[in-house]
Amino acid sequence: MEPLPDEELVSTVLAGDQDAFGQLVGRYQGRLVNYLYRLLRDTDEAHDVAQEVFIKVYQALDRFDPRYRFSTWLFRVGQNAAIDHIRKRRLKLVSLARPDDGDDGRDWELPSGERGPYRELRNLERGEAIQQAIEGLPDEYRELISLRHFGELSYDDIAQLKGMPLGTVKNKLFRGRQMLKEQLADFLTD
Amino acid sequence: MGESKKELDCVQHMEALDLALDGALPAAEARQLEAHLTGCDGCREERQRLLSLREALGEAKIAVREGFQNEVMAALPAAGWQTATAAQITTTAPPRRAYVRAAVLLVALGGASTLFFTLSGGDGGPLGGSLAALVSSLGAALVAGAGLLGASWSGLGMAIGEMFSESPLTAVGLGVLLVCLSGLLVSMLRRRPQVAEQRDD
Repeated sequence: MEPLPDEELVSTVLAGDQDAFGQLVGRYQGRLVNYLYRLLRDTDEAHDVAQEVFIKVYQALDRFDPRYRFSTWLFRVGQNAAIDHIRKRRLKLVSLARPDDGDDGRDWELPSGERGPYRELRNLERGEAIQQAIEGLPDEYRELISLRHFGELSYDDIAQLKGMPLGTVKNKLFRGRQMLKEQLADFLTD
Repeated sequence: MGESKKELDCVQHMEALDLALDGALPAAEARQLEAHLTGCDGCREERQRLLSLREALGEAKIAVREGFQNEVMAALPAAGWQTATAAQITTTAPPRRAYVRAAVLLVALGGASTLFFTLSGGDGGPLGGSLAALVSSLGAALVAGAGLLGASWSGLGMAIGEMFSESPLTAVGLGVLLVCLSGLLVSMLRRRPQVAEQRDD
């Protein structure tokens, strides 16, 4: 049986069938959790924020505009929730840091000392190397790579979500992948 | 010379190669790319590296924890659109309470000023004089309004009488028009309430 499009599921939920929202959660949970994980770098927090996002979207479902894609809306809410979460976390860490810690405001991005920037890439396992390569990308590239490869959004969806021209999205994704390819050269097969 | 031209050709195909792997390259350009790949070992190796990168990114995904979907469904509150209370609903109907308050205030002000003016023996000083002037103005406005209304009704009565005497059909048409307009007005007043705006996120 052909799966119902997102927009039809939304209509079904609004008509009173809450289970239809379960189908939307099932459809997007992996993509949303992985996207949030790339932004938050913490598995538990990614799940917690994803749950929060699904609840927010559910509560505002009657304001969903069917002219736009549900996925774009979901990931926009997800992005805002992640930014709020990072801001709160940063405030918490800054308030706990000693004044002479030399905090440059980025320690929250690397919650684990195991992924120190000086560790030799070739000594890392492939998965960890990928993690480090993604984290090493400039923010604008990392965000688009996350949306494309972990959120699995289409180029059009990303352009709509970020308010960028389609050509810019394509070009930035290309350049981001080129950077990753160079970083991971030892781990990629020819 | 031929070698540098080939390199330039390969560089130009690099982005197309990347797009093709995402299925985002137009068909005509995809055919050109395939033709180039047939005779270019370097670009075929590059394609393999890009495929390997995508595979590696796929491996970097984390698994969603078991039971997550059930957790979400169990945590769902009643949706905002199901629980909108009377207080959250705004309508465009006139605020009746505001009219009542204004009328009460007006009557109280008039009463107070009259009382003040009477008790002060007709000379209430600047304040009494101001209040008396205000009451007089309101009284004049009411009289003028009543006069206009009376005149309007008289005029309307004359017009209707004229219509009935000359053309009963016109009067019937006017009646139908008035009923339609009343229906429209009632439907506008009873239109669907709108829930107050909330943030998307």
